[in-house]
Amino acid sequence: MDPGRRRRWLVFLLSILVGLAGGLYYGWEVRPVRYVDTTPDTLRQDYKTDFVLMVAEAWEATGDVSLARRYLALLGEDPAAQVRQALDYAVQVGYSPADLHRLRTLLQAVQQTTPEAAP
Amino acid sequence: MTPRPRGRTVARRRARPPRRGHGYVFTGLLVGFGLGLLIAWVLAPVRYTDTAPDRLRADFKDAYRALIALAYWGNPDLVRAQSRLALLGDPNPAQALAVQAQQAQAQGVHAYEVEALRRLAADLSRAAGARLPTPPPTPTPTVPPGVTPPAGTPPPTPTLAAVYTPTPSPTPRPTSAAGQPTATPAPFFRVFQQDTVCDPARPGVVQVEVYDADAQPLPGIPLVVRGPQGEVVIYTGLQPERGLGYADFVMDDNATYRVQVQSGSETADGLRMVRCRGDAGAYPGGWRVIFMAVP
Repeated sequence: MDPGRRRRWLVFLLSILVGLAGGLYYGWEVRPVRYVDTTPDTLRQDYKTDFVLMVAEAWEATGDVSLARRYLALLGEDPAAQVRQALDYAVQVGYSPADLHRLRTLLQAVQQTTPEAAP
Repeated sequence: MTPRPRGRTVARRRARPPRRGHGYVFTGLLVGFGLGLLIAWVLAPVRYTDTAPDRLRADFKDAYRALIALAYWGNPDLVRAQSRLALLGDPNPAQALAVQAQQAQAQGVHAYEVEALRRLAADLSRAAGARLPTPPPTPTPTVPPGVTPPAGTPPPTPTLAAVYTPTPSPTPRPTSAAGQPTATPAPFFRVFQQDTVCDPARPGVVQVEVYDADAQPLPGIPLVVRGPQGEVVIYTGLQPERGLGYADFVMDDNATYRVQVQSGSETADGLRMVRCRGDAGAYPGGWRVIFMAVP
């Protein structure tokens, strides 16, 4: 291969690399894929914790464990695990004693009722 | 004429650098860029595992909104509810709640979910200080000169705007000995205003508005309309752009209607089309009825 031809190939490969870098930068940084139709299980942990706290507050109002389970199921398969995880996070970031109490009460309620027992 | 030596010409041509453009560089850049996008968007896109509620799918947003309302029912902290609603990015949270309450009711969702949505919508509207556009309107001549109401149509009821004084009342909260919610007794509504309306854009329409004792619009209130076709129930709040406490229906010609709040109210009766006259000639007019809860 003559030197001119080799040089052209080199420049061609280099331009592909530059283009690749540009494409990756554009696709990951400038306009990354935007997930606009997400599900609650993808929520950040602080939002998940607040979600569980809302379930606890709703449970206080309604006393309906099946309703609580229905909402908790949006976060994952094991409702008790979701509440436990939320409780851990709430303790870690210093939720108020009243909210911690709500979460603990919900955890007890969820643990006491099996999914089969819930209507 | 001296012939040119051919061998030297060939040698000169070989020595000259070939004339090539830089298209291959551009092609390389394009190929690379395309590969980059393929990787970034398809093969290894950015994964969102820590999303915010405003990115949720519409049905999950509805569930989130309902949960906010239920949580507010258990813990009536309006600031907390407002900050949670803000996460959803609704332009008008009160409207979104009111509309969802309507849909939930139509879908036969748990009654307390519907009630929770309504309650939060109402409390938000109250907190936002959403007052009546004008305190129940002053009696403008809604039947213009030259308009002849049909025989048997009662004259418009005189407006009570001049004597109306809203009385603040505390927000009822569901409480019981066990801390469980109890049904709030439904208020009684009276016909606050019943006037004919001449609007060529909305011929023969009866516009009903329902307000609580604080003059706040009430969404999700069932209204019973009795006419020649029998009894029909319509709900306020389905056209939030006209107001949360608004509902309407279209009258048939030569038919008389009565409307009242289903939970208990005075009856607005004698609702018939009236004849209005405009630039384009005569057209059927409608009515505006306002129900106000008795404090």
